[in-house]
Amino acid sequence: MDTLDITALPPAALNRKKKISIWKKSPSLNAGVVMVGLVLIFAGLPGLIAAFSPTSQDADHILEAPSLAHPFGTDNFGRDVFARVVHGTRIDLTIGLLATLVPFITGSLIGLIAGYYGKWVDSVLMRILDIFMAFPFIVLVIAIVAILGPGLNNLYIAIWLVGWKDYARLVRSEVMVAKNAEYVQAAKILGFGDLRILLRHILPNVLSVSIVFAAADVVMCMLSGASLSFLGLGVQPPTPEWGAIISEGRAYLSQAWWICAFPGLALVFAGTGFSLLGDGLSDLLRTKGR
Amino acid sequence: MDPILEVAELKTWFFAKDSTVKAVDGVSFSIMQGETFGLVGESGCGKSATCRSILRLVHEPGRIVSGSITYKGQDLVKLSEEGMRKIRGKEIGMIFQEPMTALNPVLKIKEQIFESFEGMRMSTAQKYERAIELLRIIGIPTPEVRIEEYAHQFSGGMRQRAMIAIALAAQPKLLLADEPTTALDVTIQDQIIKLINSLKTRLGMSVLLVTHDLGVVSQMCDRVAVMYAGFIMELADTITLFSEPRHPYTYGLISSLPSGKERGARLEPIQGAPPDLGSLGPGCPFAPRCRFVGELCTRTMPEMREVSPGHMSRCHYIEKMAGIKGLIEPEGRAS
Amino acid sequence: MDTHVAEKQYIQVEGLSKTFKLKHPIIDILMKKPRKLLKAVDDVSFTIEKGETLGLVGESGCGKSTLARTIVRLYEPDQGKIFFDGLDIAALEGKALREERKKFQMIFQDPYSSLNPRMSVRDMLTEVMLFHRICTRSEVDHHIAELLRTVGMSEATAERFPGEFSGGQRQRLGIARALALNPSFIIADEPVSALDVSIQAQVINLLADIQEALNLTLLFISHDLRVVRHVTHRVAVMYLGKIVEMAETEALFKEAAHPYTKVLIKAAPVLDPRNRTREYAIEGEPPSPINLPAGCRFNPRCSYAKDICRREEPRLEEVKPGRLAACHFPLIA
Repeated sequence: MDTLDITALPPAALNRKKKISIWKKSPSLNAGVVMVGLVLIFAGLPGLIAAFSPTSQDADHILEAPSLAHPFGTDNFGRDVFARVVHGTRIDLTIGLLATLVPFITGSLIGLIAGYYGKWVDSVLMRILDIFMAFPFIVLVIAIVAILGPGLNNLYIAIWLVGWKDYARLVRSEVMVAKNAEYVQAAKILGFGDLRILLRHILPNVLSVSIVFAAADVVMCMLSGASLSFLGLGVQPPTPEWGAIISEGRAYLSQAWWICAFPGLALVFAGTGFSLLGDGLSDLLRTKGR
Repeated sequence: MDPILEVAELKTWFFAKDSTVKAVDGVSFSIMQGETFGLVGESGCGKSATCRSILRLVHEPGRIVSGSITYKGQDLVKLSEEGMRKIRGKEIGMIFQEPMTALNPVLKIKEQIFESFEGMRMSTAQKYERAIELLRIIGIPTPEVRIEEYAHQFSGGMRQRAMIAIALAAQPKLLLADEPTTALDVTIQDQIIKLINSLKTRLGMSVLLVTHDLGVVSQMCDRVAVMYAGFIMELADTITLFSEPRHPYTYGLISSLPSGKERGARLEPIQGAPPDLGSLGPGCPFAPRCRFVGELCTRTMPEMREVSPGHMSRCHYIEKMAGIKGLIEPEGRAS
Repeated sequence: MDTHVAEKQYIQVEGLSKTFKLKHPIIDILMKKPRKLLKAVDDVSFTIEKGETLGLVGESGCGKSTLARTIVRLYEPDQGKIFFDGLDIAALEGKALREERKKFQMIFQDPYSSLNPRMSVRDMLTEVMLFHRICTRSEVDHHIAELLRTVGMSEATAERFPGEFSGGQRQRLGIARALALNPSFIIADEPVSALDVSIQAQVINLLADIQEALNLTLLFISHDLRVVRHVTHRVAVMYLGKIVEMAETEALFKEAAHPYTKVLIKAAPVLDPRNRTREYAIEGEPPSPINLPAGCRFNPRCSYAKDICRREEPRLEEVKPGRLAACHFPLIA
């Protein structure tokens, strides 16, 4: 037998160092993790952070400017805007995550199937996709909500029906490259079935673009949720949702800017956090690939 | 014979975030008028970086750190960008491994050749005539038809020829050829080798050939430099290098080749793998894989020493290799 | 046709063909032009004895890779039979095919795309062995250690990912994966073409050792004649989808029977700088396999071509004992 001694292997420590240095070198990943972490804490423990209840009204303190007692001021019912924004975090985050998760799964699966099987399967799925692509996202969502009626559940359904298309397109193009890679051919020759090849060999190699996109998509979905609530099609008052708060505060914009400004800033903060996280993830996943 | 190009102590380094890759680390050689000079070595040895440094085409984050490249009395390292533009294509041409990356897909072959005539006082009719003549010399059949076509309409070998035609349009004195036959099938490779050989004599050019293939070296080069880890390890005329290698790496390369004598005989590969250029020790970079390794080798870098006139080797223990034969019989004793 | 099992060679390919349908552009459909076909492999037959290495050479586009992929059933053959130890695997489907697959494996050319970048060496080999029940879960570690030793790598490498290895090491891992199923027949598709010369020699030696130790049958595909001459017992030369010559390796390299073989040998650069010529081994390039010339496929480029060559396609026939050539006027008789 050949007794070649392979001494030139890079030491494993080197690789570990590389992984750590990515954390160090990707400021966007760090900032993203911290910001999203804050958002998660707000969403998880609103009661600990906000002193007031988001719905308790106080007729003595109507439209008060930000103060020590009410850092974000109060609204037209005397509700604490800080409490409403903090409690709204959970709702907006849930909208963002739920509205992203389902299309992420369905879209990726559709892309996987279309890209792997090709031929007529691909043609049919891609023509359906083309139809969805032809309408602007928000217009389609509004149309669906208008048909189903306003409300949070219908909002989810609308975004789920529309949001899969980007994932399907991204994953499909990646699969079309990956399925010709020699490691996939090797898997076929090893006798593995389609399901095993798709899920164990192709999926992990094509998912990184989807994951990166999903991080940005959370922002999009939070914004869409907020926009629709603002338009009165999503979350209904008095539930504290950022878009709904802004919508309610709109009438008082000239007297009490804080009602609109703080939920707006919260949206910007959460959005920036997820965008940075997506950016950092794409650095991380790209380096890990090879 | 006079040198047309002299490279002295050239260092081209690549600055990565956490390490400096010394791709070319003190390379010196000269190319004589009318000769084909070969730079041979395995991937990552710095042969391509050396070649690109000559035209100052090193990719980011690479940079020529020091050294000089003298062409017609000017130092190309110090020349202004404008001065370089007068050198590129006009004095020194270059061809690549993958013609599709060198040819512009949206321009006709004609337009690309005409571009090379830029700056010359010629009428369009003259340009056209010259271009046709060029394509004919390069061996493209029915040039009047092909000149109106685009690169994607050409087959692999024809693309390589078209790229050579464009590189030679301004009649450069020196042609840099970076792995010009590596992507080609053996019969096309044979044609391109012979084409470059005959063009060299016909146009009175010099050629710098970068390749990993010793077969191509033997068919094209007058002299060769063998590179390893950014250094020239051995430099000699081709016959001497093939018959009396005096560096362990050259010898290792030669004995790795299945020379076609006996089926099933064991090849003698070089053990291990090339080093990481970002973290080289003080000694000879080949020491960890060298079968003649001695105690000096891991401590100090050997200098280039003359084995015989024109034959240089960078090894502490050249004597250990005395009498070792290469692939062919040495000159004079040939049967 | 004789299908008597006892008389079959270990590997026997009979009349194998694979045609690809090219995209049918709308314009062509409207003009009622027929869909273009690419005959990548056209009526190919050969045999390999147990323990033998057959070389398959030819230029890019000659169909050698398609032939390999059709034999391992990555592509469905259009026609023909592939007898493997007496069993026609071209006719197998589903579970029977999966069972049979254990016995024939493939080694790929590109060490950078042939390993799943997101699976560690241990995961990769474990999956293969457990899927085919080569051993029980408790024996897996032992088997992996043995496999890695066989391909000249230390057991410590098992936890690493493909990205941490050099090209030569990846190729060794590809070989380990093929060996994990204890196959008896391996197709190596340009296994050393992407490697540097010094590493190439290591892998060639490794393949030779493994073949001897495990008594493997090999189909070795390469465009590098020097490597083929070193590695193989017999060689088949392909041109535009057909085998044009087949012979013992040394005999073929000493004296070619088919003009194309002669050209190929002549075109390979000689390793002697004193031995240079000016004339081309052959002019031009192979024609497109979509529009094949009538008669012998090589006739438009053949310097020996006569009238009959332009009319009639020669069959692959014995021109001398042990030497097959598809030529009306073989260079040896």
